[in-house]
Amino acid sequence: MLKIGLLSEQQLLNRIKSNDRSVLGELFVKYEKMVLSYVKANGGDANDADDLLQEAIIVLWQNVCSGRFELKAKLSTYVLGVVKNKWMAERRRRSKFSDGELPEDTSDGTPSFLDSVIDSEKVALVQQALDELNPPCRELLLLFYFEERTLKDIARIMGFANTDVVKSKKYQCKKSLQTAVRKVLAETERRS
Amino acid sequence: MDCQAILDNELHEQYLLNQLPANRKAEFKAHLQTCPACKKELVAQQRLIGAIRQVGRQKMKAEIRQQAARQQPASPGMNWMIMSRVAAALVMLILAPTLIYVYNTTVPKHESVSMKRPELSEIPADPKLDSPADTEFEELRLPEPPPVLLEEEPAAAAHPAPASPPRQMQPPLEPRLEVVVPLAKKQLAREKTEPETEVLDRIESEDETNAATVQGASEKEVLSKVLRVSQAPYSETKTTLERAGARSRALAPPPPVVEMTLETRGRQPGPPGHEFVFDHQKTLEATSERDSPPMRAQWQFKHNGTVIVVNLHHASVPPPAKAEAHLPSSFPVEIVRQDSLGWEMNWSINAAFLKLDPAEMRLKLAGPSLNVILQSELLYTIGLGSRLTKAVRVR
Repeated sequence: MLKIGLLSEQQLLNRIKSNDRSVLGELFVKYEKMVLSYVKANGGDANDADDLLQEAIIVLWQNVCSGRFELKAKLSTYVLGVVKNKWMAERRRRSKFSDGELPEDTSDGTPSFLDSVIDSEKVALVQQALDELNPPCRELLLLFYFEERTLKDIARIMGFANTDVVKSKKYQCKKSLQTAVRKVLAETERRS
Repeated sequence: MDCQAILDNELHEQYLLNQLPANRKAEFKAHLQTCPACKKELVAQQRLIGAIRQVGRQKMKAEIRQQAARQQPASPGMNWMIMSRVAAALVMLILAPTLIYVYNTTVPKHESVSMKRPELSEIPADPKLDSPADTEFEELRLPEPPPVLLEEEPAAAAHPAPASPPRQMQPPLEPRLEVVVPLAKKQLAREKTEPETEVLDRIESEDETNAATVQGASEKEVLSKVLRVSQAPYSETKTTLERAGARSRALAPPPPVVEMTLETRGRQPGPPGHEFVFDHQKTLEATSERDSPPMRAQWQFKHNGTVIVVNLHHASVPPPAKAEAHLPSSFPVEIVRQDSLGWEMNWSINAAFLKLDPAEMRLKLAGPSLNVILQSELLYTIGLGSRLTKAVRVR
């Protein structure tokens, strides 16, 4: 806590760019009380607060890694802004469920109940396939597609010679993942 | 724009990640309208990347929880570390005086000598030790073992050791019992040409005095002497040990006996039957030439804070008769120190003994003898009847 208090916010962002994973925990501890008090004051509980803060940290992480983030205000203001938006969306979603009918309309981009079931199965399938990849491949794919890091960043983090190597590796890893997904899918169908 | 070029350049991915320039984006969208295969591939890519992102999100959430748990204080508003220390201090303040009082009032002072050596008459004779055929350590054999003699304090006081300065800060030793075997006059006469002549003369006169005293004394008187010796302060005990060391030097086989310093190594001995497990090998010196000194090792065996220190010295033991018998059938053991604080022994062994892994060895007290166990099998038995004794091989 003391350590994080002494660090400037720009230092925190630099640590995120350099893939210092301990920042994840530090951010959570730093903004935990703030988010909890906001969520509790707006009809949520501690679990909601934890989930929202995690989402906000992920958004911050992705935006910093992809270069979309600019530090124009205090970091706490940014985090609380993300939390507010997400909490509003979540409350809207819950109010629809509480009406007694499952939402079928997907015009606002919210997936239907059936879609979410299919998605969760698909995600589990891809997760299984990802776990079967070798660790460097898995890390590379997550750095590129999830954290949205640039090829240059990935080359620095993973120790590749240049971005061409990263591009080539990424292509190979993606093909491996597709093969693994097909394999997992075939096994699942065979069992069922 | 053909399908193969789109696939080769990963345009599906670039489009989904919004990385395509505006003109290329429009061109790609136009191609999608006319190409169902590319459209299908785009949907597949969208699902795959979406799933990767979902997996990444789940993994990062778990990582956040894990990292936060590492940095989270134990409990808000209360420092459990400080609280536990305060509680421990309170318990000590209350309990410690009570325990000390109970201990002082209930535990007798000399009860800790549970390893008290039995009288020599109580020790069963070991036929192997006295076997006439066993001439391996003839030079160590004493002429005729007279009754056990006890060193008497006045004798020690009369001949204070010049080399031992008084150590006033040292606490008195725990009760101890020491058995001293007197020197043979013939052997002493042989040794008179050596530099230790003066010391040996003094020892001889003391031994004669002690022998006369003990022979004429009743059993009750002997017991009282035992107690007086056992309560000797540190400096007097050290003097006794130094004289005993001089005596052992006079009787020892060719390799010299190392000076042992008196130091406290433990508090209470383990009861008979308890095994002492090898603790660590303190020193090991061995030359490449197997049969020539110096070859020395020190082993320490521990049990409940009690330590048996074994100093292994190379000795001129004859080579084994049989090929498989790589260890001597017996070897001399000198008990340098034996009391409630710890044991120290000098073992004269051959080179093969150093090859044994001490971690596989145990020492077990069994009545008047100490058993050396190797991999749960009894290897040697050491009779504890006298200071100079033998370890006799069992198997």
